Amino acid sequence: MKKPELLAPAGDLNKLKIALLYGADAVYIGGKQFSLRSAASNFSLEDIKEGVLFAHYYSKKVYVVVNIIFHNDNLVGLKEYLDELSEIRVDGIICADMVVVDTIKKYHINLNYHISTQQSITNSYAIKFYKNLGASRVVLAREISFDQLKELKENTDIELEYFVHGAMCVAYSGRCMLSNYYSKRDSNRGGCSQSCRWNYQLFNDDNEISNKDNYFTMSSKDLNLASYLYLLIASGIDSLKIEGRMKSIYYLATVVSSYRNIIDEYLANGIEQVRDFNIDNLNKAANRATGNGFIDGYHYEDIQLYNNREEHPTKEFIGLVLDSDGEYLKIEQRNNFKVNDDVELFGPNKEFYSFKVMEIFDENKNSIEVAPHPQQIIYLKFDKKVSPYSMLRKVIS
Amino acid sequence: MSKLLIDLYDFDSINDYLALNIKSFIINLQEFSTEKTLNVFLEQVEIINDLDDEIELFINLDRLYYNDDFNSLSSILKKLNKLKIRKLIINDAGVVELIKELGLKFELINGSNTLNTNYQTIEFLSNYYRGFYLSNEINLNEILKIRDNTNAMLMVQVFGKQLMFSSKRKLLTSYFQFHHLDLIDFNSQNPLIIKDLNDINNKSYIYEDSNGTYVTTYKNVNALDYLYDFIVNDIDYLYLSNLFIDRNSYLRVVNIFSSLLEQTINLDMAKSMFKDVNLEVSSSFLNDETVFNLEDIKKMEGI
Ligand code: SF4
Repeated sequence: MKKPELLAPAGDLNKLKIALLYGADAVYIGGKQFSLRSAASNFSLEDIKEGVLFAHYYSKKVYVVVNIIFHNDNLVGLKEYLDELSEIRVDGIICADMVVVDTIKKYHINLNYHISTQQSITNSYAIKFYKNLGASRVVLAREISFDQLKELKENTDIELEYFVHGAMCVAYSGRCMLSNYYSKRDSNRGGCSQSCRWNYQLFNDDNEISNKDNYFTMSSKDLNLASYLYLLIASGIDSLKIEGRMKSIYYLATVVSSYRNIIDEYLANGIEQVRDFNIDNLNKAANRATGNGFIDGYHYEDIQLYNNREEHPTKEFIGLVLDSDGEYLKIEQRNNFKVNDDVELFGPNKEFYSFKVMEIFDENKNSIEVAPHPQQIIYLKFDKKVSPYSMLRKVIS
Repeated sequence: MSKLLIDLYDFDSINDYLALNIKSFIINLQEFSTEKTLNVFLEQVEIINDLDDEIELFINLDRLYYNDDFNSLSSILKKLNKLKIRKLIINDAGVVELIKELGLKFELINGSNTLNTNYQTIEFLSNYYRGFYLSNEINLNEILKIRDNTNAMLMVQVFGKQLMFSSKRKLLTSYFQFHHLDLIDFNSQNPLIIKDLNDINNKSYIYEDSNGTYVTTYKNVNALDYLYDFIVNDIDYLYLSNLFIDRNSYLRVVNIFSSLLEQTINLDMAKSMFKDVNLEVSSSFLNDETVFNLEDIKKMEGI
C-alpha cells in the first residue's frame, strides 16, 4: 500500500525542525512575502534555506506557501521571490492565485507548484484544468467527502492533498470577505480577523431570534480525522495535511507524532483501530472541540461550534528538553509546574516516560520548589538520555 | 461603451427594462446557480431569449460543482448551446474543462467575486475566459489599473447588495436545530439579518439555498460617484443587483443609472433622485482599502 506523505505546518525554523523530527515527511512554511497567516512569524529567505537544508538532510521536503490573492500592488517582486525559492531548491510552492503559475511559466522558473485549497477544488474536471496548467498537486477543498475523494483519486494521475487535522474556514476557502467588510482586514492576503467566530444577534426582520444564551455564530469545530486515516491511506491519497502554522511546538509535536504513529501502525500491521494513547494525545493538544468535517457526508450542526465553553486552552506543556546527559534533563520552562506534579515526557524518537517531579533545580543547580518563569532554564534529575526537542507535559486529572 | 447589466424579478419585469433600452440581463438557473431573486428553469430561458433579438443573456452557473453534478451540467450546457446562449458566468474551473471536452463554444465570464483582483491574473486567465467580474473588495484605482492592463471584458458591481461569504454548510439550519428552535424560512426570498454583538455597524443579510449559506452586505453599494470613471475607462458591464430590494425601488435606481449613462441627467440630478429612493447605501471598497500585514493591522487597530 502506498505510504502517504504526512504534511505538517511550520511557523518558524524551530517548528520546522520539531515537525520533521516528530515524524512529518514534509512541512509547509510561509515566507515574509505573499503568504497568508500574516500573524505567523514566517521565514526569511535565509531561514528557508536553512530549513530546506535540514529537511533534505533527513530526506524530507519543504513547500513554501505563496498563497495570497494578489492585488496589483502586490505583484512587485514576485518573479524575484520565485527565482530565489527555485535557487534554494524548495520542493514546491503552494499557490492560490494564477498569477504565480503565470510567472513560473512565463519565466521558466524551475518550481513544482501545488494549487491551494483557496481555489476550492471539488471535482475531477477542475483537477484536470489545473493539471493542464502544469500543477503537480491539488489541495482539495475541505468540503470533499471520503466517497468523493476516492472517486477524484481514481480519476486523476496528479497528486492530491487532503486536510486531516486542524482549524477550518467555515466558508469555501478564498470565498469569504467577512473580515474585509467587518474589520477592513483582507482575509485573502493573510489579514483575516476570523469574523466567522464572532457572536452575532440573529433577526427575522425586526424580531430577534437569538438571545444571550444562544447568539448566532458561524464558528466551526476543528477537524480531527485520525480515526479515518486507514481509509484515507487505502484510497491512495498522496498527502495528509495538518493545519496550523500559528500553532505551538507542543501542538505540532503532539499532533504530528500521533498521526505518524497511526499511519505507521496501519501500514506495518494493518491496525485500523486508533489506539487510545494516540486519541488521548490528540485530545491533549486540542484547544477547541473537534469533529469529522465533511468526510462522511455532511452532518449539519455536528461540525459547528456553538459553545465557546467547548474551547479549552491547553496548559499541559511545561517544558522543552534542551539536553540530557543520563543524569539531568536540561529544560526550558513553558508553563508553571512544581515538585510533586505528575508529568509525561515524550520525544521525537517515540520516547515516552511518565513520572512524578521529585526535585527541581535552577540554572545553578540550586533546589527550587516551583518553576514559575517562562523560558527559565531548569534541571530535573533523570537517569536516561532522551532526544533533544523532547517535551514535558503535566498530567492533568 | 459601458452597458448596464441587471437582474430580473419575473418575466414581466423585463419589459420595464427593455423600455429603458437595457438589454443585458443576468439569469440564474435553478440548481446551477446560487439562488437570487429570480431563479428560472431552462425552458424559461428560451422564452426570455426569444423576446427581443438584441437581448443579451448572461446565464449564471456560479456554483461550485461536485462530480455528481457533471452529467446534468453537460446536458444543460448542450441545451444552452442549442438555444444559442453565448455568455455564461462561472465560478468553477471544472466548467471550463467540461466545455472544452464537449467541444462547445461559449464566452465564459469568470464570476468570482473574491479572486479577480489584479491585471496579471486576468491577462493569464484570458486564455480561458472572455470576461471577469472584478472582486468587490478592490478599489477604484485598482479597477482602473486592471482596465489599463488588459483587454478582457470587465464587469463591476455598481449597485446593490454584495456577496460577502459562501459556504457549503447549512449554518442557519444547523443553528436552529442545535438550539431546538422552530424552523422558519431563510431563503433568498426571506433572508435573516445578523448583527455583530460588538459593533452594530457590522450588519448583514444571511440566507440558505440547497447548496449552502450566503452572507451579503446589508447596505447597497452605490457607485454613482464613480460611474464617470467606469464609463470613460470602458468598463464593459456595470452590474446592478436586485437582491433584497423591492421591485419599484430597483426600477427607479436602474432608471437613474441608465439616465446618467445616457447623459439625460447629470450627477447632481442623479444623486438628488437617488435620495428619494430611500435605500441604505455605501461606497463599499471603491474608495477604501483593506490591510493585511501584521504591522498595518496593529496600526489600524491602535495596538
Ligand atoms: S472569517 Fe472565518 S471563514 Fe472567513 S476567511 Fe476568516 S476564518 Fe475563514
